[in-house]
Amino acid sequence: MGKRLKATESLKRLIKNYYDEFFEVSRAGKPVAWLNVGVPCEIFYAMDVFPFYPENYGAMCGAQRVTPELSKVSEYKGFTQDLCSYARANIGALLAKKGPMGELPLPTLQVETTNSCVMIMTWWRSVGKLFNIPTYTIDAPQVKYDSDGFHLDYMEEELKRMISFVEAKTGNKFDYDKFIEITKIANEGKRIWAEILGLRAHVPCPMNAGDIFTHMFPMVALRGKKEYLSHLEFLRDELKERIENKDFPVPDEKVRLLWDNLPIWYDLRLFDELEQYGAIFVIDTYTQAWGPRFMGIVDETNPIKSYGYYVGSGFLNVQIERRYDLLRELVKQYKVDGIVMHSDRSCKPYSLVQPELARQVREELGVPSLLLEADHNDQLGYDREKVIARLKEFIEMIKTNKL
Amino acid sequence: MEYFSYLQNISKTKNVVGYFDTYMPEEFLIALAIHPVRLMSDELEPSVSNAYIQGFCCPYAKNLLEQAFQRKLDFLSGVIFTRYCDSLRGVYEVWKTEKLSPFVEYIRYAQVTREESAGYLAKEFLRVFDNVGKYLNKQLLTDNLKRAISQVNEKRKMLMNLYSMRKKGSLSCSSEEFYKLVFSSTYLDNNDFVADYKKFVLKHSDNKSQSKIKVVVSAAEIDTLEFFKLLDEIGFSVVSDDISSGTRFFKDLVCETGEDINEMAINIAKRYILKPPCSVKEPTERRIEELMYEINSSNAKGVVFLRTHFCDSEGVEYAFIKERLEKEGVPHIYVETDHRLSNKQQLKTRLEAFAEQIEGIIF
Repeated sequence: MGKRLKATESLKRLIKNYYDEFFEVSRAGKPVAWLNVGVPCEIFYAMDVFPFYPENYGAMCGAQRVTPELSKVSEYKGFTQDLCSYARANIGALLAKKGPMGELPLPTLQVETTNSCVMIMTWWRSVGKLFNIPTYTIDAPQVKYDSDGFHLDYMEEELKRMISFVEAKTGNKFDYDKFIEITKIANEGKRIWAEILGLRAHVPCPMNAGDIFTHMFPMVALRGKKEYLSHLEFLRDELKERIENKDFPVPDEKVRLLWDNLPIWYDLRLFDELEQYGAIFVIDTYTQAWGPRFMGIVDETNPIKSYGYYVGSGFLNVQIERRYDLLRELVKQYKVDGIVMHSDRSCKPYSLVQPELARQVREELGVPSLLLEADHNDQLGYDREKVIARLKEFIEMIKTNKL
Repeated sequence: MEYFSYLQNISKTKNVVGYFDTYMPEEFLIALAIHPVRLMSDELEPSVSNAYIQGFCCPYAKNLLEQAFQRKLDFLSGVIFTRYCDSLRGVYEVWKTEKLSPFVEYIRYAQVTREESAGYLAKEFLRVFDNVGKYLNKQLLTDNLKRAISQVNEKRKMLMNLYSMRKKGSLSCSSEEFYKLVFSSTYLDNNDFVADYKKFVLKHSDNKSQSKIKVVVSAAEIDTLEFFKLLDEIGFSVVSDDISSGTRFFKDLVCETGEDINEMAINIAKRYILKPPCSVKEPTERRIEELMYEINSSNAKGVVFLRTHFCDSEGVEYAFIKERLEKEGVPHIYVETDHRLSNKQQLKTRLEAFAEQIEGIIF
């Protein structure tokens, strides 16, 4: 149970180096931008502005189980408990000047995009106001299926306005040639990421969900860096090796599951725990946000517009039709027996369509779903025993139905 | 005639189209000879909707979904959602998938309130209302849009005048009576509203001073008259507000100089994008400034900040409103409820304590 990947050691080094660089760059007074995960880091690497992702830091707070303590600080300031737990942890850490990495140095500027939720916008707004940080919001009106026509033109204009804002605030110029080089590396990495996700379709599956969620980090923060490519290659090769050597987390798979929504960061072991019942999470929707379907290959001949397309058509910026199409594709491609929908109190746009999606998947594909209420980052009120009991029942039900 | 029966009656002769927030430009619907109605919450408890959307969805949004499931909105020819909050977004997806009205349109709204967004938004308005016209076999004509802009501007001016009288103390009516008229402006036919407005002003105009405690209500949305009745009973008089069916609904006019449909669409887009913002838009500085203006111009003694359960964006905005009110020395209270005021007794106790606190300051 819980067979670890060798690539995890390489990942730890990547994360450490990234945070070391973040602190070093901040100490040196070089420009740092806090971005939400929908904002392409490639543009910032091309401008020599260090991209830092508070959502990633939020996940770290969750994994280290410090969110409730940090939330209290933000709640004391007047922020509601209904605010996304990432935001509560991040704002609390800034106000308290403490957290998993100690006191976080404040950025030169912030950029966020509205392509996921209202919460991100209010989170960036709060940090901007509390600490007087110049903030740019890339407007990305929600689309039905993807960005096209005048919507796509608007997305391109928005990215150009954002670049001008960053140039004005940092004095750093946007280097187009460097940007193309970075985009090429990022594209190559996305191809490898697609391969990695594809390898999980193998029966038995070579990688459980806990590992893939952990390995999302380079896809979020390091796209365009050379070390990102080498790490992804290492991970892909290790999965190929596992398949070749028949070295699987659950060799005798009984139930193949799909996880919908963010993981429960403070309980990533939950996935491993279920391996003893012959169940493995072979795919998830969250990592698809960085996969070929939602953050595909950027057109190197028209890159700003192409990035605009992917920002405008981001995973949480599309409507239920595309979410359903994704589930249908994944269920078929990965031979999924059941779906666990994490109904995440801290992520309304992801969660509030799940009952409807569950119904469609059951009626049209005959695949059952379990709606599991939790919070991705705040463990208060999380009853692990009850969660495992419900998952066990669900797995047993699927096994019985397969007989 | 009350809300539902009034709209059912209208729908016998005219298409009625519902909308959900203060960003839907009713000018276009009026120009298409469609009756626009901002849907209001009612007393229904969530029942059928529980199977379609989780409990942490905004209860106000969920109530509208429940009304649709219970067939209380069958008089609608269609509905139009905008990109507003994350709860309404969830409700939209269910409404559309379950086909709860003959058509469901969605305005891919700009969230950022920058003038640069107006060109995009104008095109989006024209796309959506062209679709609406096709559903109902109607066409958007220049003269009709021009007249509609003027008509809605006139309504806004009437509401501005009403609030001005209220703030000056020249309207002797309860908060409940006042808001009954204000909210009716979001669903009454223009002629009916103008008639009611005139009657109201005639009936309530006087300068009798009231010994009530003047407050301003700040919220995302509260269309429940029961809340204003409760404030009246405690001894408050709501002299102005910062709510989306109150001042944020009527402040700012559409520029009437547009000559063709594209120009007019841009003028409409500019008004909606630059008006006092709700907390789901960015940035929100103007909202706090407008709130301060309402407090100062009405000589209010305090602010009641009301948050609907699970409303995350208001829960963030409150932190900054609170900071500003404290800085300005304005007494305020933060309360939470739902559209049915299901915690009415608890609210009453807290609001009574707030009244005592303010009276202690005044006297």
